[in-house]
Order: sequence, then structure tokens, then C-alpha cells
Amino acid sequence: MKVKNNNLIKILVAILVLIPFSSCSDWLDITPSGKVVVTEYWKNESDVEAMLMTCYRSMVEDDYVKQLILFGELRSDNLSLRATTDESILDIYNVNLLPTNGYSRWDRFYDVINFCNTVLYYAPQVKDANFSTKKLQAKMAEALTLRALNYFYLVRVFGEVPYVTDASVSDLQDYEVPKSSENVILDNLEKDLLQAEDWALISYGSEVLNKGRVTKNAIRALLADIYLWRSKYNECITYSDKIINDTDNPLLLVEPEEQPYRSIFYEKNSSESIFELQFSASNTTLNKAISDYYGDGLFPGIFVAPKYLCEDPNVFTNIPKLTDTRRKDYITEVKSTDNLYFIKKYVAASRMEYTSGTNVVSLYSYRNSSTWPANWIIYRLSDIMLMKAEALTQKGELSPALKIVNTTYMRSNPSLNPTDTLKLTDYSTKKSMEELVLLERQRELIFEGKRWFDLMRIARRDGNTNRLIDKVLTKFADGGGEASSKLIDMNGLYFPINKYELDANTKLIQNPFYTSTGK
Amino acid sequence: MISDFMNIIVKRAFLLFLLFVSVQSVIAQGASDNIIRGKVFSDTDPALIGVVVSEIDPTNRVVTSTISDINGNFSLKAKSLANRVRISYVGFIPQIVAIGNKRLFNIKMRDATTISDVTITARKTTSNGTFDIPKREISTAVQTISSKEFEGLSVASVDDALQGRISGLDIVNGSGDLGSGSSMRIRGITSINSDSNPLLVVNGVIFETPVGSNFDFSTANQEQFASLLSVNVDDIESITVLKDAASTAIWGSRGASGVISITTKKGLRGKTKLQYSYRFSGAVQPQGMKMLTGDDYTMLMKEEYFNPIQDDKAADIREFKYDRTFSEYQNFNNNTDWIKAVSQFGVTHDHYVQLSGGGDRARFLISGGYYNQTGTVIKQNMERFTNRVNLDYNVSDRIKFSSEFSFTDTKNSQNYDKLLEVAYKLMPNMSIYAQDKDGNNTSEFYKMLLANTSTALQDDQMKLPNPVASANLAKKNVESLYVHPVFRIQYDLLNPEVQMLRFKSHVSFDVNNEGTYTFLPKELNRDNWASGGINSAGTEEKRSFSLSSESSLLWSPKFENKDHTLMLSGAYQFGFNSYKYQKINSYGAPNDITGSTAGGYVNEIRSDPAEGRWLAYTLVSHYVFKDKYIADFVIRRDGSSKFGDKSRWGTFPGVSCAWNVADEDFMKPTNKWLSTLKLRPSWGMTGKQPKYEYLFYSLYSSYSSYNGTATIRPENIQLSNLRWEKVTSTNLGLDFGFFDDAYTLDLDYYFKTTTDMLFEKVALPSSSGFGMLTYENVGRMDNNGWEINMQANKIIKAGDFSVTLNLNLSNYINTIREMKQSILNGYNGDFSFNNGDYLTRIQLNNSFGSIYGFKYKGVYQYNDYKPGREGKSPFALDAQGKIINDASGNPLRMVYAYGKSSQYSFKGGDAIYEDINHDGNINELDIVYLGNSNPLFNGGFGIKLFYRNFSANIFSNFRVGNKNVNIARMNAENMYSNNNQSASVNWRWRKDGDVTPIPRALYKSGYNWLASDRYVEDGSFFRVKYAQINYSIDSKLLKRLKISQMSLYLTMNNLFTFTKYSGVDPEVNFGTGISVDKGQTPRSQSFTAGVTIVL
Repeated sequence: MKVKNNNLIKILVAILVLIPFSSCSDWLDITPSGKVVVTEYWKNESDVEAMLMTCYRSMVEDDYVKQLILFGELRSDNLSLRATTDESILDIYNVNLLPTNGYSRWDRFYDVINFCNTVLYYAPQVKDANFSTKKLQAKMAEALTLRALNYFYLVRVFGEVPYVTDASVSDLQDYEVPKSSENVILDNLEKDLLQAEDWALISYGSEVLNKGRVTKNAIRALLADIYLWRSKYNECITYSDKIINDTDNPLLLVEPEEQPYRSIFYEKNSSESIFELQFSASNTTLNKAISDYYGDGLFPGIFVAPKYLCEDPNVFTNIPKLTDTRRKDYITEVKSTDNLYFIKKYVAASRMEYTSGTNVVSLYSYRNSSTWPANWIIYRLSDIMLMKAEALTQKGELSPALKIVNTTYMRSNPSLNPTDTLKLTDYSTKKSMEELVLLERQRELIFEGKRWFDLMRIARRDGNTNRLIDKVLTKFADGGGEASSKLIDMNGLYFPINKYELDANTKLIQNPFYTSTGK
Repeated sequence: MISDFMNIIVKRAFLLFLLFVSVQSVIAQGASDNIIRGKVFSDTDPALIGVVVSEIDPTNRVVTSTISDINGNFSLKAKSLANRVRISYVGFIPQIVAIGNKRLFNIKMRDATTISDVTITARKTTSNGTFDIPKREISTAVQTISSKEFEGLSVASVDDALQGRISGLDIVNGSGDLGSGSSMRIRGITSINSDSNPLLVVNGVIFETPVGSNFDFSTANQEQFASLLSVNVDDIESITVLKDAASTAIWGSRGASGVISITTKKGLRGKTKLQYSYRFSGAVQPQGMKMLTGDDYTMLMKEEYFNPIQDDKAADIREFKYDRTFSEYQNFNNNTDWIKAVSQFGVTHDHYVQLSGGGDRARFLISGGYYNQTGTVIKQNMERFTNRVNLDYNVSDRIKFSSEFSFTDTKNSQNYDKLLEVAYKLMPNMSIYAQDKDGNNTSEFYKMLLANTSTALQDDQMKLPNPVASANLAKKNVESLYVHPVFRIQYDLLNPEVQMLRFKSHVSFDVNNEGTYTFLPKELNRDNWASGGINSAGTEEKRSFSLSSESSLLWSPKFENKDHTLMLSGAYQFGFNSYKYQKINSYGAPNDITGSTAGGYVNEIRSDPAEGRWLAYTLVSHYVFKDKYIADFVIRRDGSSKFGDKSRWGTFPGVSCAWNVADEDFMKPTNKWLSTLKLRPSWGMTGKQPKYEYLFYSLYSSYSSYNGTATIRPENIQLSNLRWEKVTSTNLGLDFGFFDDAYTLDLDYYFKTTTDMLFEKVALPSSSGFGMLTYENVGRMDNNGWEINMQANKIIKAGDFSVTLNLNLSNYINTIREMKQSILNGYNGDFSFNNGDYLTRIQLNNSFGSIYGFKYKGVYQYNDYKPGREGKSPFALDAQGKIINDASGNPLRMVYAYGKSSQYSFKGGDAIYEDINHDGNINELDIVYLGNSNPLFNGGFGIKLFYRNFSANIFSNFRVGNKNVNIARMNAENMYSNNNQSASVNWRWRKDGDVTPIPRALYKSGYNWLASDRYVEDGSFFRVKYAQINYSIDSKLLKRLKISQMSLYLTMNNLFTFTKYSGVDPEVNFGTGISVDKGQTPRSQSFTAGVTIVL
């Protein structure tokens, strides 16, 4: 094999041609166009701010608020069903909870949790001269609080859930996380929140931001709520007082002459609001959960107020005089043509009264499309006051408890004489005071996603579900025999873990009540 | 002359290319006295006119050239005196003379006819992707089909022509809709939900469309093969299918699902040839299910509403009542055959022109095709223009340059809605056109308005569009343009006579633009102006550009010992592609504006760019010893930008051997009849990469805003752990040839294992904040199978008559060996207790595609029990067939789903399901295995008959032993909704005592159509895919007309199908779970008449 020199040169030339290409494995390194890569993010304060706002943004998703209503209201004695073709909603209403029920998915909550985890993981790594430790801590406080809030919902709805505090970044992580017990999770939440309280801002400089973002008071509200849930009454009172007596950025109950309904629910971000999810037409975050479930003024939603609640003189007292404005503000005063009481809380803009013959009739005005988006209130002052009242009652301090109840009660009965307050003589036992506080919470916070958890607290204290069943069954026309058999078990108060989650996470174990029927 | 013109173009392009490659040798500058002159003559002619006189360099490259004048004289200015002069003339032996000091040449040409005969033995060679080697030296499992096999067929794309042709290649058309793609599987499915389609290679260049990360998964497979439309079948010379890993390993990470390699025609040396062919086809839709007439339908509906609650009030629906006081009465008193209304006679015109030819130096082929097809469903039309230019230019004996350029422009007007599907559902008593009070049609299409429609019909019927209106008023146009130029150079660095050392390089470009334009006019919408659906227009545009290049060195040393032959090749390839996707939807534009960018409210904007790069090194060797022992080795190292650093590179080897046993001395005695006996074992590994780019990045994308602050969110979980999917296959091949290979038989048996199986969209616990992982390597799967390929050439010969047969059979068994538990959980769901819900299961060590359900036993004849009515009335029986009594001694009524929310007591006229465990309760415990969707075998069978100028070609394909779930029939027989039903429900159970296999009608209640063997049917079929008669007109006759060849043919496509299957078409997509026949547009039956003329 003789190769001429001349040809050797040609071979070399040919090989040289190849080299410019073959040398580089760098050739395969491409950065995505039109996308942000994590390594190029997290450079300054605004990057942290954008992701932090994502945590809030993911809570104004329709499905998120819808689940808050389904978990907190539909299961309780506050809602009846008008009409729906959604089998899953029917099943929740009829206490026929199945692991295949679409609303037993918890992904919306964990979405928020993961966004919070992402902020908590990456924010401390940001190297920005203008991003001081104080600023960082304030932002971390918000993320810690939102994470805690979501875990608190999960714990109350599902009992035990996987407790994840790592940001989900890579497929090298193990995502099959087993459940943690309620106490482990709540202990952690308390710890996080105490830290957050220390770090958080008192004010953001504008009313909208003060109500739409987590402030010191919002953290205290969540802490008070958790303490109450865990029967830590002293701590609950301490933290309620921190809010009630706050002088840094004081909260004020909206007085009757200031039109509480219009101020709190229509104009939003009222002086008594602590934390509410901000919806807005301009940001195309319309609160569709409200319009679908409660109504949009034009059409009623799929839920209505149960008959007993509107007609039983023991609920909104003073019937037939109907002095409690909440009865008229929150629910239609009279039955509709199809014999139902429609929900007005969040739906109406305001209410006026006029006289028709001998009757005083309410006339509702509705939001127009640009003002339509109602906020979803997580905590407001009257809620906190009544939490304190509940804690005081449990401690046997009935008189101060009654005083609080009278504050919210009298605000909503402006036509009563100042002396017509509720009397201690009528509520002299701990039990009767407990029932009164519970009722006042129902009247005040109806449709705000609180009632079911109020009832669960009662059951947890009692150690049985008798009182809960008694109350829940009142809304069923047929007595709800089927429902009571499902609720008799304390474990039946929790949702089943969705089948999808059980399939995807082999370390999950179905909640005890559903192991025989479900998977 | 076109060829001269082409020469110039080619020369120029080549010069540019040389500059780029810079292998140009310096040309010496000649002096002015280098003019040479001469005269050319022959024995018979004193002056030869037009003789080509060229100056050639040592590599036989033409430097300058001239031709002799009418006196036979020529003059030429030589560039270098070291060169030689070549004199060539048609019909004479070319001469080569050195120049040296000679300036005057008197050349006597010698007649070529005087030379003695030369015997040329041509051996058919096949490309194994790198080398062209004779078939006998092939050691891997490849199969080649020549385009002659499907000459005269009118098919739009290759997949249609290939169907049933290749053993082990299973092709199922998506539907009979124009331009719809098909799914192809070589040797089974290698993935469960990820892409299993084979790699397409055209002339050695990968043919693919890159996809962005937001690309719709569900239609992706079809799209790729719909793009096969870009290759005109008439341009194809041959198709080679590479099946085992040893052969596909040279495509490394791309070849895991097999490779289909297409070679296009090239210009042939000789007189310029002009070929024209025209084919005309007419197509009709095969008769599908016979549906109810309007009268039968309304009768059924009244019964269907009455039955569940036994109350006339339930059936009080105006549209069914023929109530003259109803404002829409005239529109609901008809007998409309919707299927007929949307069907038509489809026509195809297929023109093809090809010009080819060339001389020693340059060859060319130019072709153009125009294809215009109207569908068998109204308003479907596809128009395609294809063009191809192939040029080969030999600069010298050592340097070759070639280029290919192809261009395809397709306009496909599709239907906005699935018309046939709608036609099968729509109520037949409704009219197509709005009718006046006397029942005369107006010019307006009828549509059900919310205000006029009974609530019962609002959920289903009202939502169906009037299909005739949809066809005429709405539009969905898909337009695509595909341009694909390739430039190649081949340079022999050494004199190939001495030793082959060849440098080859090509660069190819791929430009693909596709737009989908949709418009839904207000006439078809029932909403008001403010809603999103009014005059809704969509524009979807995809643009992709890719470049790929390969450079290789081939070396074939000449050994002293002629027993050895060795070929080696090393190649380097790289490529990149970029992809852009944009979508805009708008609504509410004024009438007559049908574009989404022309006004109205924009309700969706999406864009999705992506970019990808890859590179690869391959080494291939082919060694032959004594012509009998063959060993091949291939290794490829692949790098892809789709993976992160950890698994960016993959190495894929392949080894194969062949032993020509028949050539051994000890086989001499049998050589008389056994001409070939070859053993071919092979082993190889190939890989697969995910479809999308950027998977290993953690990406953020913009979300919405909160309180005025814009937000951003994580989009994915970065896949740091993702690896190449690996497919390892072992192939055992045995080739027989009898009687000088007149009969051949190829057998292949293979084991194929997919490890690190890629799974798309793996469910992730939501506690991660994500619903899924885009991809994960999740398990292991086996595909074992066999293939038989038989060919009998001219087996019967009687005078001018002869017959050729071919048959192929194949099958595979697919077994899942390992699978991530969460995926098994997700697939193996609990029984939902709903009607029509067939369970799918993935079970380890079982094949994918088993069907489970109840056993259907007919219909309960009676509602109440009397002795003798055991099994005929809905009461539980024990294992001995005796009635079971309850605690109070009464017969126990059969119950469905006892204790569940869907509990139901069976009544007379309800479906009987076999109570397997005799507990009087039909539930999940009575579900049994009903069959498998995988066939026992499938294949193709062809007969060719030759008689003088006639030939006939009949080709059939078949599949045996698979089960289909006939969902189309289930929906047309369930009598559960307002949808129209098949005529067979006229035999339904109506009153006590009726004996019938069809249960009673129950509107939205009962359990008469649970998943059962009632709808599981044998999907075996034998289809005469086409029968063709071809007649070549006698060349003597044609000579007078100056036509060198002319043939006529007549083809019947999809002539008939032998099957027990009750649906329209037993050929149902399979490969992902159970085969389900949803009644898509069936393959049409058509005839084609065509003519081909060669000038």
C-alpha cells in the first residue's frame, strides 16, 4: 500500500476540514430561547418579588377558592344544593366521599406550597447589594406564612399529609413523601410562624397591599387559628389580643353607619380586614368561584342557603322582625319562585330597604362587570374576636367572652336598643356560651369558608361527632340518614386521599375511614 | 440544451463548493503557445462533425473542451502540457492522447461496433447505510422493495404503498380522511406512550420534523407521517427497511424503532427521456352501519324516555312528537340520511412528468407532480405539487458532485368538524335546511337554537353541528411548504483502481412551513355575540429549519490475497434544527373576515420556539473472507442537546455475521436445487431520545399577575436523571434460495429488549407541586417475534405466461418485564361501574393490550320469575342453575353493584351478564379476560401474472387473531342518549316475552352496555388491497409515433375484505393499549385508470 505524498496532503486537508466541527462538545450546549433558565434567575430583589407574588397568584385560581368553599362550607350546615350536574359536588354534599372524587385532589394547595418552598430555597441565595437581610426576611416571612396557611388547610381537610419543605427542582429528588402526623406538621407551622412574625412587615404602605399581602397581623391571625384548633387557649388569646390591641397599624370594626356589608364585601379591603385574596378585573382574575357557586347577580349559583337557617328563629333571632342585618345582607330575605333562599354575601354590591304595603322589603344592587371581582377574605377582625371568645369560653371566662359576642352582635342589630344585648344570664354555662359563640361565628362568617372547621373543633373537643351531626343534618330535607352514618366516625370527617395521589405515591396510605371502601 | 445548461450550473456550484472545502489543486497557468489543432476522421467518413475533444488532467477531470467543425477540424488552448487530450464520439471508441510537445493531432476514430462482445455480470447491491454491498453479503435483517412493485398505484404517500409489503412492518392508516397520517411499527412497539414510529431517511438524510415542548402529544405521531406526503411516490427508486439493531446501529440514537430508508430515482446515462403519467381515480365510501330513519328514530326515542320511569310524561318531547303546533314542526318530520348527505364520489387526478438523461459527465433527473384529490366526505380536498431535481456531475473519474433539490407544496382543505362522526349521531328526523311552514327547504341551513330546543336535547343533539352547514361554511385549511436541498461531494483521494480511499461529504437543509387556518362562522354557533365562539378564527403556524451534514472517509484496501475484502468507514455527522410555533385565536370579528389576525378579540396567543443540536461519530466495517464468511461491525457515538451533561453521549454498537453455507464444498451435492443457504446472526444496541429539547433545564415561564405585579413560575422539574432508552436486539436470520434463487425464503427470529424505557408524562405525587414529569426511564419491555418472507419468481411458465408470488408473514409478542409501580397503579384503575368502560391493564410478564369485561348472555325475556324461566328472568341462579331464594323464600333478583351508589336491580329486557361467582350480584368479580388486541400474525400476499404485454398484480394484506372493541357499534346500539342508533336496534326488546339479543332502550339509565364481550369482536381480516391490470403497448407500434414506451393500467383499490368483523373496517389502530374502533372515516374503495408514456 503505497500512498503518494501528494495524496497524504489531501487526506490531511480533508481531516482538517472536519476538525472545526468535531472538537466541540460545546456545540451541544444550547440555552433555551424564549424561556427563563433557573440559573439565570434569582439575581435581584425583583426576581424574589415576582416569585413571591406567584404564591399569592396561585391562590386566586378559581379552583383554589372553589375548594375552600367546598371544604369549608359545603360540608357544613351552611349550604344547600340548588342544581348541579357535577357528580363530585353531589357526592360531597351527600357525604359520599370517594377517593375518585376530583375535589379530593390536593394539588392546588401543594402548588402554592411548592412556590413558597421555591422562594424560601432561592431567595437567600440572591446576591444583590440592595437586597438587605431585612428585606429578605420580610419576604421569607410571607412565604413561610402562606406555606403554613396551606398546610393548615390540608391538615384540617385530610388529617395527615406529606410535609414537604424542599423546593421541587430536579428528578433526582424523591417525591414519594409519606404522610406526617398532624402534630408534627402543626408544631413546625407554629415554629415557622413565630419566626415569620418576627420578620414580617407591619405595613406595605398601601391599604390594598396591607390587606392583600401577609402582614404581622395576618401571621398572628393564623397562629391564633392554629392555637385554637390545637386547644391552646392561652396562646390563642395572647395572639388574638396582639391583633385586637395592635397600635402599629390598628384594625377597626366597620361601624353600622359605615355600611359594613358594602365596605367589607363590596368595596373590599376594609378597616377590619386582615388578609384577603385580591381579585381584579384588570388582572383578569375574576372570582369565578363566587359567581359559579354563590351567583353573579343575574343568575343564582349552584349553592343556596338552607331553609332552616333562614327560617329558624333560633339562628337569626328576632324573626319575624328581622333586626339582624346579616340575615338580610348575606341571604335573600324572601324565598325565590322556586322556594329557595339565594346567597347574597359577596354577590351583592349593597342592599337598600323600601316599604311595600306593610312590609319592609330589601332591594339588592349588584356589581357591574368592572367591579365584579369579589375578594376572598381569609381573616378579618370579627373572626379573630370570636376566636378569642371561643378560647375564653373554653377557659370558663364567660363574661369577657359574651362581651366580645355582643360587640359583633350589636353591630349587626343597629335597630336594637343599646340595652338589648345578649345577657349572661341566658348563657351562664360553658356549654351554652360555647353554642352561642359558635352561632355568632356562623351568623358573622357564613359563606366565608369557616363553618365546617368550627364544627370540627367542636367534635374534636367532644371526642365524638354527635353535635356536628345534629347540626349538619338540619339542612337535609329527608333527615340525611345516609349522611349521619358516614359522619359517625371521627375519621369520616376527613377527606379521602385521592386515588391519583395513592397511585403516584406508593408511600401514601389511605385515610383510615376509607381503607375498607377505597383503595 | 437543458443538460448543457445544467452542466454550467453544476460546474459553478461545484466550484463554490470546492472553495469551501479547499481541496482544490492548483491549476497551472498555460502559455499562449499551447494551442493544439487537429482533424478527426474515420474509415468511412473523412470528416467527423461534432466530435468532443477535451483536455483532461491526470484524474480524468475535464479542463477544457471543444467540438469539431463541419470539416472535422478542431482547435483547443491547452491549460497544461502535462494533460492529455480525449476524443470521443458516439458510436466510436474514445481515444486518449498525451499532449507533450505535440500541437497537431490527426485522429482516426475506430468504430465501436468492431470490438468484441464484453460480458458484464451485474450484482444487485443494496446499501446498508454506508456501503453498497451485494445482497449475498448482507448479514443483518434488512428488506428492500423496489418502486416497481407499486408502479401504477395511485397513492398519496409511501406508507400506503408499503402497507403489507414488508414483513415485520405494520402500518395502520389513521383514517380515510385526506392527508391523515398513519402509524408504523417495525417489529412491535418499543414504548408504551412514547413515540414508536421508525426513523425515516431519504437518500441518507434524516427526514424529520422537530417539535417544540408544547407540541400536542396526541397527534404528534400522525403528523410526522402525514409529512411523508412531501415525498412523491413516483420519485422513489427503492425503499429499504432496516429491522434489527445491528443494521440500525449506524443511526444510533435515532434507530431504536427501526429505519425506513428511501432512495429516490437518479438520472441515467443515455438519451434524454421524457416520461409522463396520468392516473385518474374514483372513490366511494364503503357501506357502513345502516342507521335508523327519522320515523324509526322517533319511535325509539319515545320508548327510550318512557322505559326508565314508565311514564308517558318523560317522553313528552316536542321534537319527537310530530306536533303541528310546534314552531319547528317542519324541521323535525323528516327522514334525513345524514351519512349520504356528507358523502360523495371522490375523484383524484395524479399527473407526473419526469425528464432524465445525461452523458458521461453529468446526469440529471427533473420531475414534477401534481396531485388533486377530493375526499369521499364532502368538501375535503387536497392539492399537492411536488418537484424534484437530482443532478450528478462527475468532474473527473475521482471527483463526483451531486445535488438534490425537492420541493413540495400542499394545500389540504379539511373539514372543521368530524362530519361522518356527527352524521352517525345526528337525529335523522331533522332537516338539513330550515324549512318553511309548508315543508319546503329554504336556502338556510337548519340549526337548533337554545330557545327552541327541548332541554332533553340540549346536552347532546344541540351541541352537534349541522354537518352539511359545517362543511360549507366553516373552514380548516392546512397549507404546507417543504423545501429540501442536498449537496454532496465525493472525492477519491487515491486512484480507486489501486485502492479506494474516498472522502464523502454532504450538507442538507430542510425548510418546513406549515400553517393551519380555521374559521367557525356565526351561522354555526348558538351563542351570543359576546361569547367566545362567534366568528372564531384560528391561525396556527409552524416553521422549522434544519441543517445536517456528514463527512466520511471510506477505505477499502486491496489485499494481495484475493480471499479478503475489507471496507472501513469513519463518519462524522452533525446537525441542528430550529422550530417555531405560533398560534393565535380570535373571535367576534365582523362577518366575512376569516383570519385570526384581521380583527376581533384575541382570546389565545401561544408561541413555542425550540432549538436542538446533535452530533455523532460512526465507525463501520465490512469484512468478507472467501466470499462466504462475512463479518460486520458498527459503532456509533451520539451526542444530543436534549440531555444534560450526565447522559449527553450514548454509544451504540452492532455486530453481525453471515455464512453462505451453500457455497461450501460439502454443499456441492445440493447446489442443483439449493442455490442459497445463508445464516445471519446479529446483535446490536440502539437508543432513543425524548422528543423535546430543554428537558434538563429548570425553566420558568411567566404566569399572570397579582396586585399588579407580574409573576413567574417554575414550568417543569428538570430531568437530570434522564437517560437514553436502549433497545438491544438479537436477530437470527436464515436465507434460502432454490433453483438459482427462483424461489427464496427468508426467515428471521428476533429478541428485542427495551431497557430504560422512556415514558412521557409520568404521574408525580402532587405534593411536589407538579402533576407530572415530562419523561422518565421507567421499565423494561421485550418484543420477540418472527418473520417469514417468501418469493417465487416465474414459478409457472407456460409459453408467454408466467406467475410470480410473494408472501410475508410476521408477528411479535410484546411483554412488559419491569415497570415503575406508580405507572402500573395509574393504568390499572379500579372498575368504575359505568357503562362502556373497558378496563386496560398493564401486567408484568403479560402483553399490553388485553381486554377485560363481562360476559354478555343476551336479554332477559321476562321481568318476573315463574318456574321454567331460569336464566330468562333476572333472578339469581346457583352453580347448578337452580334459582336462589332470599331469606323470606322469594327468588332473589339479580342486582348490579350491590351496596354501591350505582346499585341497580335488573328487569325484563335488560342485558344478561354472566354471574361468574353465582352470588346474584354483577360486580367487578364477574369481570373476565375477553381477548387480546395483538394479532397472531399479519402479513401480505401478492400474485403477479404475466402474459405477453399484459401483467396483472393482485396484492392483499391480512391480520389474524386480534380482537377489536367495536366502540362505534356500542354507541350505535346502546339506546342511552339522543344520538341516532343503528338499524339493528329495531330488534330491541319491547315487551315481556320478546326473544332478542338487543336489550330495551333506557334513556340515561340502566346498565345495558357495560363493557362486555358483546362488543369485542374478532378483528381478523384478509383484504384485497388492490388488483391491477397493466398493458404495455407493443414497442413496434409506438416507434412510428416516436414513443419508446407506453403502458396502460387499471387498478381496483380496497377491492374487498373478508372478515367476520361487523364494523366498517376491521383495520383499527393498535399498539397503544386495546384496539378500539371508534368508527373513523373508513378507507375508501376506489379504482384508478392510468397511462404512462415515455418519449
